[in-house]
Parts: sequence; structure tokens; C-alpha cells
Amino acid sequence: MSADKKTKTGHKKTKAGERLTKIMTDYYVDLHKGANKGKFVVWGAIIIPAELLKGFDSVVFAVPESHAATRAAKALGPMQCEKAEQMSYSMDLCSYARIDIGTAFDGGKGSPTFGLPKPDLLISNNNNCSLLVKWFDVYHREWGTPHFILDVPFCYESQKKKDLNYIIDQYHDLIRILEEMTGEKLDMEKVQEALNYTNEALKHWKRFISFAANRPSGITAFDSFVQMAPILTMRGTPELAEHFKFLADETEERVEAGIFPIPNERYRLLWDNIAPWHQLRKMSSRLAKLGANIVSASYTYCFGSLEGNFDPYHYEGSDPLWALARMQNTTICPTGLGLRCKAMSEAIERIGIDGVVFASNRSCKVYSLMQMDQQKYISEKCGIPTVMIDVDHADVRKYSEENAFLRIEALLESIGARRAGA
Amino acid sequence: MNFTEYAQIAQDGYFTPVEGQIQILKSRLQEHDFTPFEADGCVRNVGVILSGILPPPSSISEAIENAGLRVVGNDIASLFRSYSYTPEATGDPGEYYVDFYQNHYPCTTILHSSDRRIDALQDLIGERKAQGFMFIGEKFCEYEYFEIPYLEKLLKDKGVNVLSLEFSIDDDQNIGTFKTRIEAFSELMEE
Amino acid sequence: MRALAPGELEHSRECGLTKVLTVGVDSGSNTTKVAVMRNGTIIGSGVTFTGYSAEKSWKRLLEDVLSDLGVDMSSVGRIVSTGYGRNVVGIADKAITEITCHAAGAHFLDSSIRSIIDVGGQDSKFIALDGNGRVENFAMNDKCAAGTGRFLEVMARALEVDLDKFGEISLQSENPARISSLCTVFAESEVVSLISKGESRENIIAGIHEAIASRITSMINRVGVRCPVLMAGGVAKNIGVVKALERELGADIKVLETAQVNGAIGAAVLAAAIEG
Repeated sequence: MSADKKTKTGHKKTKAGERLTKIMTDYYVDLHKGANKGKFVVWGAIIIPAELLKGFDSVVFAVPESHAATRAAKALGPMQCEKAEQMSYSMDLCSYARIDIGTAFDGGKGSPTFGLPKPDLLISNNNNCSLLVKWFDVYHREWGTPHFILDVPFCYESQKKKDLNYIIDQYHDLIRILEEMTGEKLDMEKVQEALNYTNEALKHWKRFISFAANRPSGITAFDSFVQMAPILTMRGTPELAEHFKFLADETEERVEAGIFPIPNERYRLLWDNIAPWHQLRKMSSRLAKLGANIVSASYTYCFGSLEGNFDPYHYEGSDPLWALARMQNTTICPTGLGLRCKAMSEAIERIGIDGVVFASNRSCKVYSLMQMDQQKYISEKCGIPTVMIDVDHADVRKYSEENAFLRIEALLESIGARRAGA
Repeated sequence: MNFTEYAQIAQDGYFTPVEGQIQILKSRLQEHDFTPFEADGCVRNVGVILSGILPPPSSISEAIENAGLRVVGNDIASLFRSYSYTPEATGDPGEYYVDFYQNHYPCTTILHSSDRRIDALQDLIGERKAQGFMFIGEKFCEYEYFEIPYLEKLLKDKGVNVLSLEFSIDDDQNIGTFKTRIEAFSELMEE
Repeated sequence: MRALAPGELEHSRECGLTKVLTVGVDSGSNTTKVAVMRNGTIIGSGVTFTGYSAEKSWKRLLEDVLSDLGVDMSSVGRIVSTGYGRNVVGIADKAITEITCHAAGAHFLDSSIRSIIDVGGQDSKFIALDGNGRVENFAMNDKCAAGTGRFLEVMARALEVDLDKFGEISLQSENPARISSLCTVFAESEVVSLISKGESRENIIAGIHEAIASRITSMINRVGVRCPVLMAGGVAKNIGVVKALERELGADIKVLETAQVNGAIGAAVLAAAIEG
């Protein structure tokens, strides 16, 4: 495919977009191949220390949340949700969970990646979503798979030393369990190496998402949502670092060449919540027609940034377990309102945001619960218009496009009115 | 005392300082004659266990008791699961809470206790000779909903009938549909 | 439904059986239904809109049905009430839920029935029966995914089509429109947007039926379908919904003439069984 091929959104399909498809396909093929060869399969929540698993040659890593997002983006969400609902899982449960449970108990049918290979160990944590622990418990009960729960203290301020040590202690438990179950000794040098790859990848990810500050923006949040897949599944690999370098380089070239996704950009918006996976094309193209671009999203910082800050964390080569424990306090979920508001208001200032779309999402309680207070804070502190819309990140059956756009368009009108009055 | 009244007293305590709670309980103990409760027109005595985070709205508790069901136990997080174990007071609040959480009755929301929960619940049902298990849930992404399908299957296989009722805040005004479910559940257990 | 044969009532009176009729009253949210039974046979029934006063409507309906049979209240023995308004039927000997009544009605009319789908005005229900016609399990719709008669009414209004024609019109559709929202308020806005895009009525109506069928099937599968399946309630008259449900479920669905009064029939059957 040529770089000039146009997507349905109207902007040119990037080489990084094509490359992404390839590396993700390779990842899923390797995952299944590895499992077939008898490798030890870990299912993990997105924020668990994936680099630690790289210290074991015999371990492969699968991420149900990312897998569910992939299926939602391919319009397969409702079908898999219904399977779970028919097994009596409430339709009010997180749509990622319903998609995953529906797919897993149907042997991966209807999934473009043939589902995930069955796990030997489940690792969850209560710091991106405590409900996720119950979701993994479903498999623990049904299949008898052992379930390791990382307990990460919620923070209202910078991570405390005792909390950090508490997390490190749990890593030692996890290492012991993995060593016992795999029969392999952890190679800490490989963990160190993995951390270096992640660090390198995050450096380029930061370069990539920073092009949002360009006017017009060099990226849309929709591009960055899609490019998140490998950061959730392939952390600690050279392929991830290479890919993000490629992505940032290409974006830089395009910006220098004056190629922008929304050249007639009049409204620069920030998105707060998980990506609306089933609406990526529809929403971005409808916004484009209105001269609006969601240039950035809090969600794209959900890995690698620390509490109270959107910027990815830079690892400087200290003890790997220490660094991995430090990174458990990310900016999005396990932090108090004050830290979330601080991170968002700094980003609004830095990127130059005209308005914020808070996507209230009943499927993601942890993300959505504070949004009303956050909206109030941001409107007052940053003095920009904001709007709250209803979205379910992966279940299109709970979303009304007209309802959402009525409010988004009102937001754009209010931005316009302020400019006219200024 | 019926469950509706009992749950109301317990809930009154949620927003009352402890001194006030002691006073409420003392006066209730004095005025109550504690004769076994008979529901209106209740000739049957079908025992059920209520489960959930909070007790159901009182209109629902009443509907349950008026449908000829007797609440023989509760597995409600804010009631039985909370007071099932009370640590010894040692004068050290830290020690008290370590004991409180370590020995807490297994609860859906206490994530690490999940393995013990199913057994504890089955013991409760067996001990109280309950024929039915009624789950009262809040219509949202909630912990229990991940457990209910497994629990429902397990209990049904053991001959325990299960009914799930889902509420949204302010659902009281739409009580008709809940009454139908509760009464049908009672009729289903009628011999 | 047949009227009493001449002299039949007199004969009963002579035998000291003055109260020979048992009655089932199904006071629903939208319609009220009455069934009258004598000696194990349903001899009369009727349907009317519930309207503002549930009490007035069941009384008037019962009087009309009895008067058509050439009798009055003095011939009525046991009465069982059911439906949303089951507790407003003051003279009833017993109030029983429509879940139990539908099961009794279906079992009485066709003892082979193992599953009942009842789509009423306000809610939808699925009832699984054991081999003896007793309720073994049931499910009711989630409030956020109501596939009900009321939903169809709202849609009929938006489309300016007579609801009675919905079934027939939908059968002409070759390409049913896709309506994905579970919430009926969202679904209505989807329909409005389909209308404004110029989608044909038959495709929209067929799409509505498929959406309802999909919600109801989801509810059914939580309990598990067993054949034969009977559909009861007013919506059973809509052939479009029945066909869509058959496709979704992968099972044949029986619809009897008496679909709408099935609950009232069950209530009359249960009234006859009351002892003493």
C-alpha cells in the first residue's frame, strides 16, 4: 500500500499504521505459537510489571483488556457482550469484561486473533480497576487458574516510600511464584534490558503525542488510541521501541512536510476517558467536517506516566524492581482528584486546548466517577468550555451518536462564541 | 421483629454517631417483645437469604416478607458481612483494624477473600436451612455481578432457588415489576 | 367461546352448585383480560384497554363477558386476579403473579409446552416449565433493554404507522435496518435518524422487530430455551416479532388464538383449583 492511500477518515493512512497491523499480527501469532509449544501463559492487567515477565524465557504475556479493545474496534463488541450476557453476566458490567468473558468461554470464536491461549497464571491489580480483579476471578473459578492480585495503595499525593516498598515486596512474592510455576530462575539482567526497551519506547511515544501541540496538530487522538495496542501488550521488547521510533519519526516528517490530519483545524479538543473504540472512524470524520480535532486524550498517558503528570516517566537505570514499583502509580486511575486535575490542566496549557470532552462511561467506573468534579475544576481553573457526553467504550449498543454530537457541537459553538466575544 | 424493621434500625445507624446508635439500640431492646415474626397472611415459612451490598429499599423488604418469605439470614456487606466478626478491643486502634480486616467475614469487595466466600455462603445457607437466595444489586458495574452467574449455577445445582433483583437509585416508584418477580419467586417455591 | 347452553345454569342450581363459574382477571398495564371457566372448559373471555382506572375496566369487562354468557356475578365462584393490577381486584379470592398464571394457562391449553415468552405492555418475561407445567425458572427484562409492547407503540408513533400493521409491513423488508441501541430512548433517536436518512418504513420496522427479538433472546438464553415454545401476550399478534424471534432463537414458536388472554385463562384455571 502506498503512503498516499486515503482512509475513510479522509486523511492519509500512515506507514506506521500499516506497520502497527503487522507487529500486532506478529505478536498474536507468536503468542499462540508460544502457547502451543508449551510456554507459560500469563494473562495480565495492562499496568502490571510486564518487564518482569521478560526475565523468564518460558513466559508469554496476553492482555485481555487490549484484546477486548481490538475486537470492539472491529465492531465485534456487541456479539461478544451478548454471549456473556446470555451466561447471566450483567449488561452493566464493564464492556471489556463482557467481551472478554464472552470470547473466552466461547473458545475464542468470533475473535480475529482466535482469542487468547488459555492462561497458566492470572495477574491482576487493583490500581487500574479493582473490578478487574473480579473479572479475572471468573477464570480463576471456572478454570482453576491461580490468580495473583497486586495490591497498590491509592494515592492522593506523590507515592510514599512505604507504599513503594510494599509493592516491591509483592514483586518478590510474584517472582517466587513464577519461579515455582515455570521452574525457571528469573534473569534480572533481562528485566533490566526490558526496562531499557520500554524506556526507549516511552521516549518516542512522548515525541509522538507531543505533536498534538503543533498548530494544526500533527496527530489526532484517534491515531494515538490505535497505536496504544503495543504499549499494552509488547512492553519490554525491542520491537516496541523500534515501532514507536518509526511512528514518531514519520509523524515528525509529516509535520515538517505540512501534512496534517485536520488541516483546517479550528477547534482543538481533549478527550477524557477510554477511547470510544466503536466510533473511531465515525467520530473522527464527523468532527473533521466540523473543523474539530481531538488532539489529545488523558487515556493515551495511561501507561508510563506518574501520578499528577501526563508526561511519560523517564527511567534512569536504577534498580529495576524499584522502577517497576514506581511506575505502578500512573496518572489516570489510582490517583486522587487533585492529581488528576493537576495533570490535565498542565496538559491543556501545554498543548493549547480549546475545550474538553469528558466522556462519562458507565462501563468504566474508576475513570468516570470523578469526572463531574474534574469538569467543574477544569472549567474554572483553565477557563475553557467543557462538555460531558455518554459513551460506552466497547459496547456500541449503549451509545447514541446524535445524543453525543448534540453536546459536542454545542461545545464547539460555545468555543466559537467565546472567540467572537473576546 | 421482621427484617424490614431490623434493616431500618441498622441503616439508621449508618449516619448516626456511635453514642446515638447505642441509644437507639437500647430503646429498641426495651420496647420490643421479640415474639417471632409472622408476616401478613403468611401461612408458609419459606426461608430466604438476602445478599448484596446494602439492604434492599424497605418497600422491597416488605414485599419480600408479605410474599410469604421469611428472611432467615443475610449476606449483606453492610450488615452480616460487617458485624459477623468483631475483634477484641485492645486499646490499640491499629491492632484492632488489622484484626478486623484479617479476620473479616469473606466479602466480595475484599478481593483476597474471594476463595473463601463461596464456602462461607454455602455454610450460611445450609445452617439457616434457606430454600432461596435473593441477590439485591445496584445496576452498575459492581463486584457481585462477576460472581452471581457462578453462584447461581452452584446454588441451583444444590436445590437452592436464586432470584436477582437489580435496582437503580430511586427505583422505589417502579416497585410493581419487583413485586411480580418476588411473588413469582415465592410461588415457584410453593409446594 | 360458547355461551352456556339453555338450562345448564338452572341444572347446576338444582344440584346445589349455584356458583359454577371460575374467573381469571388479568389486569395488565395496557390491557385488561378476563376468562371464564366452567367444568374445566373456558367458555368466555374478553379484552379491553385498562385506561385510567384499572378497577373500572376489569369490572365493566367482567360484566360484559358474563352478560354475553347470559349470566351475572351470582354465578361466579372463585376468582383469581393477576397482572400488574392484581391487587386492585378486591373481590378476588387470591392474587397470583402472571408468571404462575401464564404457566397454568399454557399448560392447560397445551400440556406439552415447556417455555413461554410473554411480551406485555410494560415488560417481557420468559418462563421455563417443568414436565408438569410448573414454573421452574423465569427471567424478566432488564430495565435498560426493554423489548416491550410500549416500545413498539412509541415506534409506531414515530413512524406514523398503525401498530396493527407493523407485522405485515415488516415482512416486506428485504434489508432490515440495524438498530443497535439497547435503551429504548436511544433506539427511538436511532429510528428518527433512520427516517431522516430516508430509510424505508418496512426496513425500519423489520429492524425494530429484530432489535426486540435480540433483547428478548438474550433474556431467554439466561434461563435456556426448551421446546415447544409458546408465545403469549399482546405482542404475539405481531407476526414480525414472532418470525424475528424464531430466527434469533432457532426454534419454532407456537402462537395460539388465545395468546392475549393466556394469563387470564391461567388465572381461571388456578381459581378452579382453589379448595374449600
